[in-house]
Amino acid sequence: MAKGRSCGLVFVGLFLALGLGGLLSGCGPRPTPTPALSPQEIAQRAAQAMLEVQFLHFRIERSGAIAYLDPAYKTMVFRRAEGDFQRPDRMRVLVRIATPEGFTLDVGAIALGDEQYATNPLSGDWEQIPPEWGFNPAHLFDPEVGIERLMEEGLRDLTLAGVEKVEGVSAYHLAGRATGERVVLLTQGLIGLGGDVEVEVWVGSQDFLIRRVRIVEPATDPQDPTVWEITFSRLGEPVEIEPPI
Amino acid sequence: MRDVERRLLAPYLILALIAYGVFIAADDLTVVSTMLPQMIVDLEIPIPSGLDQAAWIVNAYLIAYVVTMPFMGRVSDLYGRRFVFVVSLLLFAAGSLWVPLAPNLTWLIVGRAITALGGGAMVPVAMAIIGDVFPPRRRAFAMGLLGAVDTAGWIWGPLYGALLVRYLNWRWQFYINIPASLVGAVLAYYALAGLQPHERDRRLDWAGAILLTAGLISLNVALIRSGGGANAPTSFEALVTQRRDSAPVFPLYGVAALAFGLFAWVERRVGRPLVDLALLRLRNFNLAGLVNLTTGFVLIIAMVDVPLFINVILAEDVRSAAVASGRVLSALTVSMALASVLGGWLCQRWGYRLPTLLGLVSTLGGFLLMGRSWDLGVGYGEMAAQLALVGLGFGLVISPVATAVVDSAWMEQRGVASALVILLRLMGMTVGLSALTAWGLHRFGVITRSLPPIPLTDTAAQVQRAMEVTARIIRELFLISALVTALALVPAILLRPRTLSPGQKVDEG
Repeated sequence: MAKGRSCGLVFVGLFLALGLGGLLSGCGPRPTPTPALSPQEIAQRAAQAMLEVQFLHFRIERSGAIAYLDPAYKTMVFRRAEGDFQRPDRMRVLVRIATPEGFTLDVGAIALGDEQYATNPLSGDWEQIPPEWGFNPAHLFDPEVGIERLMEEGLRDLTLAGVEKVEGVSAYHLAGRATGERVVLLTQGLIGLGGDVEVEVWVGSQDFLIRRVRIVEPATDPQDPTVWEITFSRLGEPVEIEPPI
Repeated sequence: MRDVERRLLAPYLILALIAYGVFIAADDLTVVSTMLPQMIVDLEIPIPSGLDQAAWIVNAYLIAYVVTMPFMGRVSDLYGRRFVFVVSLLLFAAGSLWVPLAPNLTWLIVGRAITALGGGAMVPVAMAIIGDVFPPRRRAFAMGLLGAVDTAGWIWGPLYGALLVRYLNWRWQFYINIPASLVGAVLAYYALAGLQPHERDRRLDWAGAILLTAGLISLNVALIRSGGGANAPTSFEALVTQRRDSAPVFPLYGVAALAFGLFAWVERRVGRPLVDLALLRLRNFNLAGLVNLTTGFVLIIAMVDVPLFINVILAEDVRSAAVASGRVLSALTVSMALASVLGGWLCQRWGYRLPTLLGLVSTLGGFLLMGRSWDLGVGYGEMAAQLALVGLGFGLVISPVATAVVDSAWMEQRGVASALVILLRLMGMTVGLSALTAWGLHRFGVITRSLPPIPLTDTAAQVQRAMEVTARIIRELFLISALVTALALVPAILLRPRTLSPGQKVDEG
């Protein structure tokens, strides 16, 4: 009898230990589950997933050191932009810029490949502008220099910084670096002229769609570098982008 | 003379102590004129598409100031000058704390309105206090002194704002207001201890106050929106839909008309109206009111467009433009202050009509010169001389017009009548600012489209065109101001010689 009781006690004790352990693990903070994918694999999947996206909405915010839309003339400081993109090369965007004196201007722009339009800041009327003055969005998703290519092979020292919530969605937070030349090609000279940049990407953990990209340019000002934050939303929601005139 | 018997301090000492509060509130009215360009930069208000929003930084203060005046004038008749004056200064301090902490333009405008709710009460209450403590034969001179202090606040405002922008930041205007107004509250509490309320019936006309507020706000919103604003997209949604963000205008005019109509109907029926419409039967009250309305209309044009002209046309950067604007506007405001005292003296000797006419002619001449000569090559000296002529005229008009109204009102209505004098000038300012902002933005688009197109890529030519069009529109606004000033000559000519209100004795005091 005594031996049976002791076996029973051990069993109860083990049960209690397991249950208590389960309770304790349930009460305390849950450890972030280690994904089965490596950072490189996440980036590859993101590249593949973005290839399927035909439409998206984006917002671009710049903070820190000044960045010029026209580096050769330095008359337009980029502040922020919001727009829609339609693959392969259609985009409409409202860009907020600042003059050297600090006054703010809102300029609308529509790009249909090399066909570029912008609103006149004085009259507000749409005008066609030379292709070299605009931004051809086809570069963003170009197979050789676009975002997908950057994700596939353009990021170095890639690490997984964590899993976070972005735009209400659980996302892998990747961090790495890219060469300035690589980013200059992607952004047609808007970002990366000063040298290598630090890149952070938030990729949806379920759909692997990119939700946010953060680019820091240390070369612009070591104390207060230029920081670009690009947020993607309404991924896949159709939009119609037509010439304004 | 019961109020005079109970006071503790001499009249001129009371005047000095309450004038301090008046000075602070007056400074806040004009300080924004030279700070506005820097505020537009700091708040990232887009140009030209956002200038109608920027106008509300000034307009919110004006409208709240206007709304407060008749209401608080009446409240001071019922609850006492001291209580109302001190509470007003505390409210002014609260708004001054709000403005620099506002996270965006909308909340900043709310803060400006709160500041004005306090600031707007001080002048009519101060004028009513003069009526309480000064004998009739000395009121005009006391009014002139108060007008000079009020105008001194206007003088100091633009230059002060310019110095703040140059050496500190516009937000310091409001930070400094806080201790300044708290000191004013303490001084007023001490100075006004002997004054008692005039009336025992403590009913307030809330319906009238609400209807007047609704009418003024909807009228000014309708006026500003009437210009259509600049054609540039103001939001991404506007870009997508190719439509300018704006609410329909005509219903707003309808709301304003309805509100004012209901206001008149309510005032005729309520027991203790906010505005005794019987005042409108007083000839001089109506005529002086019209003069004040038109002078306010043109005054705000000078206050706002001079810094705009300097910023866009002449100066190299916002900071140097602010200093230049402050100096040039000082020619306007200094001459206003000096002429205000002179106007009071002339009024005592010659009555209301002559100094008023002289003042209007001077202002008219100044605006005509400005409308013909301000182009890309105008110098600061020439600008200042012409503005001095305009300011001289304004100053001569202030005291006779105010005295004409106060003299014609009954004693128990003096608070309200004093408020209405200034109310009408400020209404003129709000209407002037709203209407001419809308006009200016509309004309900017019309003129720009009428000129030969310049490639968007030619930024130097675009800048040059912006400067030329802006200068042209500002000249047009000055010529419109000259025309409006000419219209004010008619009621000025019809002003009757000086009289005392019913119940007043010639040898009283």
